Amino acid sequence: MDDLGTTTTTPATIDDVSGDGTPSRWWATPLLLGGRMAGPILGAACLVVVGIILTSGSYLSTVFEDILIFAIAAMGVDFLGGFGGLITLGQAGFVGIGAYGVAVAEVHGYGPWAAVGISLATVLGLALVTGVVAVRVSGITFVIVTLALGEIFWGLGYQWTSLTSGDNGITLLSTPSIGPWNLSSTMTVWVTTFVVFLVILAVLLLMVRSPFGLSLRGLKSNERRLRALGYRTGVQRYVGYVIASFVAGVAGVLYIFSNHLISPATLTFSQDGFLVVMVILGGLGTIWGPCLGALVVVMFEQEISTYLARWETLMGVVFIAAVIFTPGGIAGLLRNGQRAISRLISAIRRARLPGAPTPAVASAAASTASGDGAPDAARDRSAGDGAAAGIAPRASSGGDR
Amino acid sequence: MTEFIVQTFNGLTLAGIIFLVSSGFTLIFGVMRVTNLAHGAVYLMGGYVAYSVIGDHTGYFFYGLAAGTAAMAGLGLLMERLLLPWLHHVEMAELLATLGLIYVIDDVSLAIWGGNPLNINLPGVLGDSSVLPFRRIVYPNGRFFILGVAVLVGVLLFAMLRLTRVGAIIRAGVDDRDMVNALGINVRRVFTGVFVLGSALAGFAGVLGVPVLGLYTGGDTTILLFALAVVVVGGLGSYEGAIVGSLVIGLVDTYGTAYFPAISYVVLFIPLVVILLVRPQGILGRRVMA
Repeated sequence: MDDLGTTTTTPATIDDVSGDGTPSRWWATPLLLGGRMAGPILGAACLVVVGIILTSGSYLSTVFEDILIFAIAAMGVDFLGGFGGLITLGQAGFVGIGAYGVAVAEVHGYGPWAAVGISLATVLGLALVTGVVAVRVSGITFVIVTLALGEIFWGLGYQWTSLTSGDNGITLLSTPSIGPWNLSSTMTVWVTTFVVFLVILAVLLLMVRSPFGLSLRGLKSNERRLRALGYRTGVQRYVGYVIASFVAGVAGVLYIFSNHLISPATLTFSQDGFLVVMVILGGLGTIWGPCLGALVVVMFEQEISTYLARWETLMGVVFIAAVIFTPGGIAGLLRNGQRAISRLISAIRRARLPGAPTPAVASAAASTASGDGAPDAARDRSAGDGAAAGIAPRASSGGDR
Repeated sequence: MTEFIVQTFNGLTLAGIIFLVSSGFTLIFGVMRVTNLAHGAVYLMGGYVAYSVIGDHTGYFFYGLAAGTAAMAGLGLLMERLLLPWLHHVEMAELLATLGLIYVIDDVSLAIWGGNPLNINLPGVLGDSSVLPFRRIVYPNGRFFILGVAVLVGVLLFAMLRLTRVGAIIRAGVDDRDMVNALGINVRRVFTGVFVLGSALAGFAGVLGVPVLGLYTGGDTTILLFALAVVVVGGLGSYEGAIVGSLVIGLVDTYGTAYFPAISYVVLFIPLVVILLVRPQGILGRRVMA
């Protein structure tokens, strides 16, 4: 489902070639290109805006820092859930271990760099160990087992007081630095978070297009066939699980440098659930969608909560509504809108217009596209993106228990 | 040794409460294939409702028990009639929607009953302790009462499932839902009945659990973890598995908390690991074709 906007182009091109050769619809070509490139262009624009907000040094910078950190963890959840079909409800546990790893190592006298290394190694080790158990099951049972795992990590943070100081949590002692680059400055943390976010976004986007990502997708749609083709599906699940958990651990390391405090509150079931809410709200199986989901959830948590004491109720209702009505999440809605616009543009290209139209006509036509697109979006919703999400009616049939 | 015996009694009591919760969870899953993650939130709200009824009058305990159970049966009816039809039996969508429901139920509970820990005391002689005839162990009567009630409910449910027509329909529903439908049985009504029964069990356990586990925000997560651990160990959807799993999890958690307080949650994970490595479908679960 990642080939944005390609569905509608072929008929138009054929029509163009078989035409009489007059350049009557030449002006639609950049529009069509624009339609195809709309996603990447919009995404790049969003990233630029986020970059500007982060470096503005305002209150919003801290909000967006949180958004990016949770977006990183949520992308990991999406990598495994949207492509491997394994939804984890325990990723906040790995975020917590990433954060605790740094703080605990510093308390035990290690320098900040060593602490980061120890933390990431711990995350990786725990992911490698717990993965052996978790990937023994799939589907619903996988959700249950990872939920239990996340709770156990929370329990460790809460109960192992000699190591974690229990409910009080641990504060960060020192921050790593190289020359002028020092994580004690908030601006440096913002920029670093942004860079790490971009790297992980790029790596995950490349990875889902790699042969491994494709085989993960195959695992989701028909594991038995993949096994028959000779794939070792258990290994694929395992690798996917380790990658997702490691990404969450990276988010945790960033979290401790931005928050300077880690307590069991970061590892609660609520937080585990938030990550899944981000992924589903944003759009399962897109990698970039969960970033939008993180934006929505963090806005609920930090902004709407100041006006509405019962923000969790509202968020819960919004989430349930999203599960029911837009299984593709925000990404699915955007994609439907884009598809509708592409359809409209190719319709314009095909139209036999008398005389040479002017670009002004074209842009006017394009501006009405969003209005015309609504019914199409409604029609497409269940057919296309629901299937991508795997939570639409009849999309995830039995057999994965 | 005395300590060990006391802990064993504690573990059995905890197992009783866990059994009441997880039997409801596993029945709902077994018959309807609905993973009701909000089951723990229902458990917690049952306790809160009972607290409102009982207040300072310990004598009203049984009214509270009835009210908590009935209220959660009603909540289950609402969920089954108003929410589940929207999800068209898609298992993952049902799981996610009930995840969203946790936030709603917990937040509403927080709005009504506040964030302070509450408690309910057992009435009359149940609030006292007895000296056991061996080793002069002093043990609260209330815990024996809770254990006894759990065993009684377990036996009644077992009898219902094994001996009655309704039980036969439910077991048939677990085995082959489509076939039951084809036989002309109103599966829709069976589903509603099972969901209401499961939610009532959660509410019932929520009230009985308060004297042992307390009544506090976030208590639902702990009980949900227990219930999920039980179904992984016992086998998802298996009633007998819920009995076995509850005993394992109740005892392991109690011994873990008593002897390894710093890592009791990790101790709890040991049975999970063993089961997943040796028998991923659970002790009494059946392997579903992948």
